[in-house]
Amino acid sequence: MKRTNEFIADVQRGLTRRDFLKAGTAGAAALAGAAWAGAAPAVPSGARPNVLFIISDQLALEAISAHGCADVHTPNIDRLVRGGVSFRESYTAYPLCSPARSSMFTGRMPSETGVVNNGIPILPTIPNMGQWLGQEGYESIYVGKWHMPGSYQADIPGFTVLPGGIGGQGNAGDPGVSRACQGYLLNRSAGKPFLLIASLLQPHDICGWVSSHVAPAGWERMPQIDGKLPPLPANFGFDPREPRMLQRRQRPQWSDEQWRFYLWSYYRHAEMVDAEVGRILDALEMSGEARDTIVVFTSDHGEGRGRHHMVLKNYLYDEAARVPLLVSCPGRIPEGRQDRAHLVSGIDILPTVCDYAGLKTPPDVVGRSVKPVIDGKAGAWREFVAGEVAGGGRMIRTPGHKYVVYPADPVEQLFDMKADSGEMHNLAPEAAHASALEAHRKLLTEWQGRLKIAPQS
Amino acid sequence: MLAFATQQVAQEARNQIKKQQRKQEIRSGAVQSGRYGTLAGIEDLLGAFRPPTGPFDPEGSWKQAYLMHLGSDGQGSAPGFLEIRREVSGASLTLFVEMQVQHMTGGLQQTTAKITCANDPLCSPKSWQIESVLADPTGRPLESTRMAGRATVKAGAVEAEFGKHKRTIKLPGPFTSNWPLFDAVQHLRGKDTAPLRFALLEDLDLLKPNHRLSFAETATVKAAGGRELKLTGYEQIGEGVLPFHYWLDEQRRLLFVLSGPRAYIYDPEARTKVGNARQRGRRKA
Repeated sequence: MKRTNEFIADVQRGLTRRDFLKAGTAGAAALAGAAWAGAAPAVPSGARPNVLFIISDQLALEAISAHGCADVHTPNIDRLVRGGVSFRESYTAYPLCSPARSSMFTGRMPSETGVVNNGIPILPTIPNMGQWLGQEGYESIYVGKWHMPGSYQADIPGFTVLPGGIGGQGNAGDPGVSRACQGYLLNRSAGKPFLLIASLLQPHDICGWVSSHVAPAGWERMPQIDGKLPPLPANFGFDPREPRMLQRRQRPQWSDEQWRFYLWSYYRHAEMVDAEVGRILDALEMSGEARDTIVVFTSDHGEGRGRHHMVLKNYLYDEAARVPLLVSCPGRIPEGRQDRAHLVSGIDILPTVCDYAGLKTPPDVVGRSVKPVIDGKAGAWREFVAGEVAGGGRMIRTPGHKYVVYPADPVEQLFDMKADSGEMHNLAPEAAHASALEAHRKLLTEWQGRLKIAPQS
Repeated sequence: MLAFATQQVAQEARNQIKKQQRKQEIRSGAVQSGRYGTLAGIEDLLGAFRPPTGPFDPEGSWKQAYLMHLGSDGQGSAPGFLEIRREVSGASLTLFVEMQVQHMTGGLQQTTAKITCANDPLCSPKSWQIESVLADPTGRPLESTRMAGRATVKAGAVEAEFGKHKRTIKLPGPFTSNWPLFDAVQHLRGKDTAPLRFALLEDLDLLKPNHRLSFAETATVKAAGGRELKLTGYEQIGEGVLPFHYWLDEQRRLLFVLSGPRAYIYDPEARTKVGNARQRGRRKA
């Protein structure tokens, strides 16, 4: 097995001397000095699968045709849903780009990684997925958005980076990301197992779309699509007993038709990322390595989609907080299973990847591998998943309820997720639900006590 | 650890400032609403636009170049260009495509294609060769990202080869690709145009079904020096894209293609301008 294959050498030759020295020195120093260096056990390399981890940005769990959305056509993400396990009760650790990503790559909550807003680096004492797998012989490749701190970086600790992607412009940058992945998959020489991260930006361009349609006047008129506009959602309204910070972010000034045009536009963005996913999956299949590759697909957060009159992200309603988590590999993972019984989280991704790779997880990881769930050997699963958001907002989601609190706001939220999955009726102020409220407060306190909070978080 | 915490605080402050600036822009009207993908959205670019002169025959051989602008309302940066050369020889029609897109961190995506097309309203691709490669910040191609493929359309399917790797794409019916559409729209007949329905094979490999191209409207805009331009517009709507708006001059020369934040602006100097910008960027770095 070649220690450094042609690909790595190619990329390294392409770096300027200054860049290479900077990356190499920083990487070596981090590895040598880190408490976790060498902590992952050496395992027989023979059966180790490749890992292809595809990340979309701002793709809501429900914005996938195989999940029942009739307003969007995502044939390629559908391939992953049908070819593996889709976790339907899957939550991001924090519905914002950088914090959510920090959790995916470390198995820790954003308040632990230090990434409590966009554009902040992961605490250097915490290993990321590339570093962890890389020290055990994986070839760790990163393409696309990183955002910790730079949205796109030429050097990321633990990874060889291919320079693809354009900030805020998935429409023009994502094709470069998927092309780079395609080239890597078809040109690589066999040998080391790979960890390839394909970090696509769409449907995040909806942020630019919303910014350009802030005021309700003067919108582009497109009569050709009048008959095709998606309907308004059932939970278009909201319980007036909402936290004030949520009320401030609603957009009641749009007309119903404008809301529906926004929805139509969002789904076109979702289809854009689906096509790029297709290019990467096709390359994997053509490479002949699909049966040896665990494919994980997720999104950093969802999108408001008019639910509760809201757009975008950074709050804890399900539309922003629930994200796809798909795991597939022909012959290794059961096909076509949609799991609604297990609550999972972005913090589970690193432990899951480690589990498939036969590696222990890094120290202090709070996520859990979903492999036992996939294998039908999970036994008793976790009681709840937790979420974080800006301003210290916290969520506890149990099988029956969701509890949300924003410290600066006196209004707490408690929803019965079985009877009211649209989160339209806030039970927190009602005496009949005081015991459920108290139980969830307690779970949150206990959970917080288990975390190793980063400085300044 | 202290340095890390300081970095966090500084970043938080930058984020807050950016948010405040954006809110202020919206309040002041500096950010126009609802101009996404429209001629109004590229008003500033139009004011500097120098329309081509001389005759143009869309049926003949020609070469057209476009500067690709990005950013909300088309006012952002111009990180790429697209050149299309149409060559007619007897009954044979060939398009030669070259595209470069500058990515962040200095990467450059280069794509070239040679497409043999049918002489039909969609300029339907019959066979093609395509090559793409990512270059590093110094401009040196990363050979391991190079993809060279060829394909032929046979019996309703694309038979594609990438070296030793093969792939078949089943076509749902009539189809074309984004680059041949730059040619196809120049053969349309204004408001008398019957809508065209097709599947889009974007970049010659991403299948996006249920597309419709039709006449939209005419418009008059002011270009550089106050020169008036009478334009005919067509719209393309379908899966996996924001609506595309094609704007042609009176000689049916395609001048502007707008889709969401992306704008292709006719500019014979596009390649040089992008190359110069890249050089300046390198010197700055």
